[in-house]
Amino acid sequence: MPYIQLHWIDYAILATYFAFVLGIGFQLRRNMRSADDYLMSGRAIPAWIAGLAFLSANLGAQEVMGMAASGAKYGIATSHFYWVGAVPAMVFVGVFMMPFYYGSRARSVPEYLKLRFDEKTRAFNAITFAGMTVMSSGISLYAMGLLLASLLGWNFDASIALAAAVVLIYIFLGGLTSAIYNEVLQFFLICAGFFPLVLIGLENVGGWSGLVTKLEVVATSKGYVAGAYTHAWTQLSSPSANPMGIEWFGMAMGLGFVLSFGYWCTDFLVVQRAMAADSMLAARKTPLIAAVPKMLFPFLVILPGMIAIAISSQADGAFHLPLKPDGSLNYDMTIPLMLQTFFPSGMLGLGLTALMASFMSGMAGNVTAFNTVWTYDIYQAYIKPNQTDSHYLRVGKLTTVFGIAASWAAAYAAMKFNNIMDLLQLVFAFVNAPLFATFLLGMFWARTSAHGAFFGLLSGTIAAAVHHGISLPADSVAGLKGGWISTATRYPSEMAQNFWTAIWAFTACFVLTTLISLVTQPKPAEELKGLVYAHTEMPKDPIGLPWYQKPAALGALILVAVSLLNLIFW
Amino acid sequence: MDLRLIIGRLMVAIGLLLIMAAMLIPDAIKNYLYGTNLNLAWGIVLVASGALFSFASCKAK
Repeated sequence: MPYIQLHWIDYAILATYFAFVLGIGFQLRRNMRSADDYLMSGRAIPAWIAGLAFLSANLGAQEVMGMAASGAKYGIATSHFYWVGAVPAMVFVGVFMMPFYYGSRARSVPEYLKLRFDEKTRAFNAITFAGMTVMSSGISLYAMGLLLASLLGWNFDASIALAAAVVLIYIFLGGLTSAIYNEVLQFFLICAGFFPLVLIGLENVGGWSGLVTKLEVVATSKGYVAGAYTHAWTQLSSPSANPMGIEWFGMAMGLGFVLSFGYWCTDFLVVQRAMAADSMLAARKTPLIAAVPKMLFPFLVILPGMIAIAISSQADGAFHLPLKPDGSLNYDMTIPLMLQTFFPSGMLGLGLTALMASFMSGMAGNVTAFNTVWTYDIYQAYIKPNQTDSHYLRVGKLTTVFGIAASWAAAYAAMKFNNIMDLLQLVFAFVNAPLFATFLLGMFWARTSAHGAFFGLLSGTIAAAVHHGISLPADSVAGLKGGWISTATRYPSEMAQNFWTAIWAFTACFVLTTLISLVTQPKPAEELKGLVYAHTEMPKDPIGLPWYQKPAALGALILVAVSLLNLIFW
Repeated sequence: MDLRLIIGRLMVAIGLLLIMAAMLIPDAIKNYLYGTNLNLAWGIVLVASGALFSFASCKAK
């Protein structure tokens, strides 16, 4: 793929965005008077801003490019990651879990675990989370450097140095608030940059009906039924009937329940945005507000991938995805190639700015979550407790510098070890999936004990590792992809293996936590106020609040809408 | 600091740059969508949206 030639106007758009990003940091620096201001935005963020940040924290460029790539590879079934694998969990966390997170006054997810259980569960979660966020941030930086080098011919070292410096400045000055504000800007840039791409693509393939016709040809040429790329559920009766290689139970239970709820309900990176909201009502509405654009995002990020594969199949041969060294299609280049092919200078600058904004926001989100967990859950808890607030504010700022430096180092580590991304994904699945079982039992069953939670969590992680060790996706060799103990089970795809690994982890954690809790001492009821459903008075909606602003009603409305989307694209 | 004002200003700034691009960039097939100059049309949309955000911010004060 030849380098994209940028016009000065494209650079001007990029420079304008950088000026705004840095300007936000400088404007906010005078508001950073305490550690809580810096690390928790002083719990003063309005619901709509927290909501869009909640969504954008998960909208890094890897996500955007990855979803377009999956759209090209699997078709509309990729929308399961939104309509099944995100929206229901977002409704659940907003309606049922946020009263405990926000009401407990915990400053982080690990701190909630300490209040609900004990120090060892907190330490386990804080240390694994801190390590994973730094690695994620570094991988985001590495992916950005690689993309800019391969697309624009920019120097890899200079690209990541520039991005790291910009992120460092705006977080160092404005803390979490600065990261949240920039995530909202990124949301609007993604919408502004990608919406015209969808319109152009649809015009090119002859509208929605033209797209469906072309994808039917693609599907039959690959041995699937005609609607395999345009129907989300019809082909899920058997793994061999759809390009994803997954059946409906693995999809609904693995993705729709365990992985989805594990991520959206327990990952501090996203939950932190809701915990920064200015009231209990705003905190509960945060994931619900995020769920509305989330359910529409497939049309912005998956549709371009479907359009790309349809255009590739056209006889004129003007548009083709590049090949990987092994000869397979490089789906990851879908979005960059679409931008290069269809956008003129000006719009191209806007599209690339949106991508860069996503990379930097992804990195900033990880660094701010790392800051908070390091400062409150590791430094204040175990290294230097009982210091002044200004001391923790200084530590928070220094942690920003350390977090960026560590991300930078992780970016180079990712360059040296090409399996590091797979490894991180694996660790992430091992840790997040069982964590949801811990939270589910911890929040809704008062009998859950501290020992039960800790050893259940460990068992879930071990169960995930064992399942991974005895299973292998088709066409893979034993190693990082699995099968390092034996190859007792073969899955048709890596995705199917991931979903079932998550199901094993969740089940093991749930069962073990329950059994151990039954034979160990739970915390007394008076220590569980505000932390467990049975001992907490659920927040009442303010009198006079319109029905459509009430979290329960809003959640029900969102579930109806997402069910309709599933039915329309069934 | 009102974020609506920042979003509004950023959209207006980028919209104006796109309008400028429509006038400065040499004519080519990919400049057009349904017969409309893409930079010009999207620039106007962004300027209008940015103005709405800025107006909402000013009205709230």
